[in-house]
Amino acid sequence: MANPIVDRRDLSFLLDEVLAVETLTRRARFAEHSRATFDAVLDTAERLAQAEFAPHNRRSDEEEPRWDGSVVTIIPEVKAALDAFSGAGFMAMRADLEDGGMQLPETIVQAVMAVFMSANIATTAYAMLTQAAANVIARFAAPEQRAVWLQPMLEGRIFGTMALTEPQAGSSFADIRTSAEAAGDGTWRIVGSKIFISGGAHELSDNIVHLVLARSRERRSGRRHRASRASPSFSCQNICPVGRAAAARATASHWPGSFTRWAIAALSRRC
Amino acid sequence: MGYRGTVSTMLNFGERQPCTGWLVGAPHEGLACMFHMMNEARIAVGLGAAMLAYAGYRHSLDYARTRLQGRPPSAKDPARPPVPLVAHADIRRMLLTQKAYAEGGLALCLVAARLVDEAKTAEAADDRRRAALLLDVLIPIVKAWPSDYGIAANQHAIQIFGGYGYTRDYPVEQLLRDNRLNPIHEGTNGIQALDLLGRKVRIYGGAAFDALAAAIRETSAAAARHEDLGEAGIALALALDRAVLTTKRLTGASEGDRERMLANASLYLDMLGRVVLGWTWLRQGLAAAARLAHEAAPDARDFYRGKLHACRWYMRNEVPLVAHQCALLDELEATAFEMQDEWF
Repeated sequence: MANPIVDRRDLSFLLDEVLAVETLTRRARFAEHSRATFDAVLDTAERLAQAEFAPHNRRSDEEEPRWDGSVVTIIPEVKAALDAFSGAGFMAMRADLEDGGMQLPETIVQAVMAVFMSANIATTAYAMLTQAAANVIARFAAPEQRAVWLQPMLEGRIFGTMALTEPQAGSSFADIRTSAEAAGDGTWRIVGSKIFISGGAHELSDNIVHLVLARSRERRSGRRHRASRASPSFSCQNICPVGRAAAARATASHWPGSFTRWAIAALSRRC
Repeated sequence: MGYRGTVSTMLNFGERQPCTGWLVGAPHEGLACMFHMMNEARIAVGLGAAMLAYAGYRHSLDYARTRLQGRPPSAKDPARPPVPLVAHADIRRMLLTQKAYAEGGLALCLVAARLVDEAKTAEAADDRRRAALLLDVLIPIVKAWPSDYGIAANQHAIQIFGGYGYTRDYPVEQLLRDNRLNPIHEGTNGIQALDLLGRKVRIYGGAAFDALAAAIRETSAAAARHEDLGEAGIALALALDRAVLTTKRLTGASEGDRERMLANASLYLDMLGRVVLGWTWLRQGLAAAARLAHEAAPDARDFYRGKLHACRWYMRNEVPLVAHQCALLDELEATAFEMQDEWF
């Protein structure tokens, strides 16, 4: 069978000859880097993609994740691949040096992701989602939140999701109903449903941080204040996905059961 | 359907017991936080689609080189041995189409990622602003174009495998199933089209669109002076001029025509995407031509020739469709808009 991984010569052609990516190393943010570090990162990506990602691309399609009512089971190759990905520092390749990241240019970050995606898009998706969530936390989260979430995410011990879509609101954010009500102790009570949440339940990491788009409700003079329609609040939490959560796509959303493990248990302990 | 290895869940919060969350960012700034990750996330979706197209291209190229089947029209004698699939012109058409879509999509996504770096780290404020403007207008195309055309590439990969490609014995059917998610998630392609035509080409008085047009014009002017790429440069310049006129017309449409205009948003994204892909191919063509002039190694020369040829193919086969699409857009084509529910 052919090697599906993106042709390195093509990647180098685009990065070097079309996009002159080396010139980025003159910028203060990327001064730690050089042509050699970019090459080393891409070499490692290619090696890991070949050894850990490509071989189980078919098997993870044929043996999709299973949900037995309490635990999601995924073929072991997926966790092994993602652990190797995190171990090589790729989960943190976009993050700042001071946060323990590689502080690589976005151009190199996406080139690295291209290598992994061409090998196995489904396994790479967990990493992509975690990087995206970590990116938001790095930018917007309060210092104490960063302390709890960011580092473990950059090390691949906590994974992330983006929980935006709701059963009745796909493309239309104006219609989302999930609400967040201030509990008075700095936390919020989340009520609502999100659907098609990739990476929403699994045993691949110690915990999952769900970035949940919710309408905020605040008590004012004893009355509930509803956030304006146009600007819902963005809450992030260890969400406790109580109720239905399904693993496999074919039967998703029809399995009864409850998820209480991650979230509350793990994160509230640390907070 | 696809992405079967990625768990997809429905999460119910607070259904059986209270669910605790923490607010990230300022209250009511949720959408802003979300959009912060959207640029990179949308590049990642386009890139994933391009990579699935790329994998299918590589599998079908390998198959076309090893599978012996049939004889060329000029040598039909059944006593002669069959030839590899790649010896058939129609197979090369499907391979070249995949190459153009997959490598073009990859180039587009990396161009966008490079702009993210420019917008954040360029030394001159003007350069940062220009990169941010380009990103504004490119992101919907970066997300939608590779996901639409990546699927088209995967169709060709399956076709090259013939009956085998339809079975689970070969990897190309999975690539098509996996790729089918990409036009849907991270904002459907229809939403991307509305974002592009309804907002992005109009913001800042059209400055984002103007920045894109200027960047494309610069590349096509460089190509027009080039011996091997003159025709390609002119083709792209003509398509760009057409797209600029159409864009002015659409953004200047009266309030009464707004719905009819937005009914053509997907057609507009497809049209402008075609111009933008032509741009990324011309940039590749220019880089390849520059290297070919000094390159002696045969395999390197083949690589650059392949790039030049794919660039030419795109300019001849895809870019001219822009004129027809612009003609429809200019008249605010309305047959679908006027279609009545009862008539279906």
